[in-house]
Amino acid sequence: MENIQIALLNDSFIINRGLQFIFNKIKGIHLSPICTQWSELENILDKQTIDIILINNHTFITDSNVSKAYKTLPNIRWAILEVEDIEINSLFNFEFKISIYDNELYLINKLNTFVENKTHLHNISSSIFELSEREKEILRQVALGLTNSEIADKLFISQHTVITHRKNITSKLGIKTISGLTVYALLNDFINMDDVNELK
Amino acid sequence: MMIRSNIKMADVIIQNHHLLAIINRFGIKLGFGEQTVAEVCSSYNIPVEFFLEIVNAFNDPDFFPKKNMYSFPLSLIIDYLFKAHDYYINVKVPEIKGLIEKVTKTKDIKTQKAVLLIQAFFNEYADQLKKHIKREEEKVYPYILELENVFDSKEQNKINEFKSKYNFRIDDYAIEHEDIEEKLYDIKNLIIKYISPKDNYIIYFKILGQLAHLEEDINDHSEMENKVLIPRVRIMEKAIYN
Repeated sequence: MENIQIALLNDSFIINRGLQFIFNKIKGIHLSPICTQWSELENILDKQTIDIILINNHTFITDSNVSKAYKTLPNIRWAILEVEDIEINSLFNFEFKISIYDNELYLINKLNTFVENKTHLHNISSSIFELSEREKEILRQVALGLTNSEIADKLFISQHTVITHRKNITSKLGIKTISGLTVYALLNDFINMDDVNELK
Repeated sequence: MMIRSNIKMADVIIQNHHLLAIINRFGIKLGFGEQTVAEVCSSYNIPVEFFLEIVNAFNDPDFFPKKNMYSFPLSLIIDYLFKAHDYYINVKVPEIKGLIEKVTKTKDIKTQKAVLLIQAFFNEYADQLKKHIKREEEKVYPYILELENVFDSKEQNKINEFKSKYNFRIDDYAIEHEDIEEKLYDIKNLIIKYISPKDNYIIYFKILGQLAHLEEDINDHSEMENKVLIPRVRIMEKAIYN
């Protein structure tokens, strides 16, 4: 995955240096260029690929060049740096919002989550979400209502292995609850209704 | 956007119509003309700061929680939570059940089989939600209200009486929420991924919309419990039991 290229547009040198310091700690994001004026950034936009413009909320609202750019640059997405307590119409679409009053840990978490989500959306094909045969077997047992230790005994594996498989199943399917997994198993014919009824 | 006391109530609803459910919990009816949030709140006798905390928390997930949430009496918060419960059980759940019932009538056997499974899952979820709510309303909330009373009174004999009456602490209950939220998420997920309807598309959209709406509302609800209600109860418990 290539880095997400973020341009910063904000007129305070000190804040920009601080952001640079924090963004340097985030894998997958590259903060550059750092501009203090729109005209400066505009020149660079033609020459360099930029994914996101991180802009302070004051400039975003007041600079008409910026609002024009928001409407006319189709490939660029936007993020907001809150420097002032002002409202932005909720119809505008932002990738993320950060505030100059956020603490470091919060910022880092937020940005890391952002990068993770982006990476997930762009780079993964569906095949890696398919269950392995072993995982299907485990899923069948979970859906039938067996506990981890029962599954371990039945399939001659350790409980620890069962837990690892279950974690992988949940992360592949995005289904967290046992009822959800049971419905999934029924929908995909890993088990049938008679198996479930037998249990009751 | 941050909702403030000096903007028009009508604009609040226009920018996020999901807030209709929230103002309904405060007993506020439509038809507020050009009145501001502050004016509407005062005509309904609602503390405007409290109202703002609630709607902003709902409107913007990053907003929560704010320090001044700590200054409101818990009875106010609990009253709000009660009304939210009523909305889940008596409005949302029946609405979703009705929609699911409609799609079970499809002629496509394969879809029908899938929908019946989802229906059973949703019914299981609804029963669990009801039980959970019943427990909160009958056990947890009365406990909290009495705790607040006793705590505010600062009278030792009341405190002693309280201690002998309950052998229950708030943390015994705090864990239980998660599973409920996860089930709702799973239902939505299963419908989106594994049901490919041959008819009634619009009803499926409605079901998903309603599920998402309920999920959002319940998440907000448990945020309020976990980030405001429970921490405050812990503080009072600590003061009383030490």
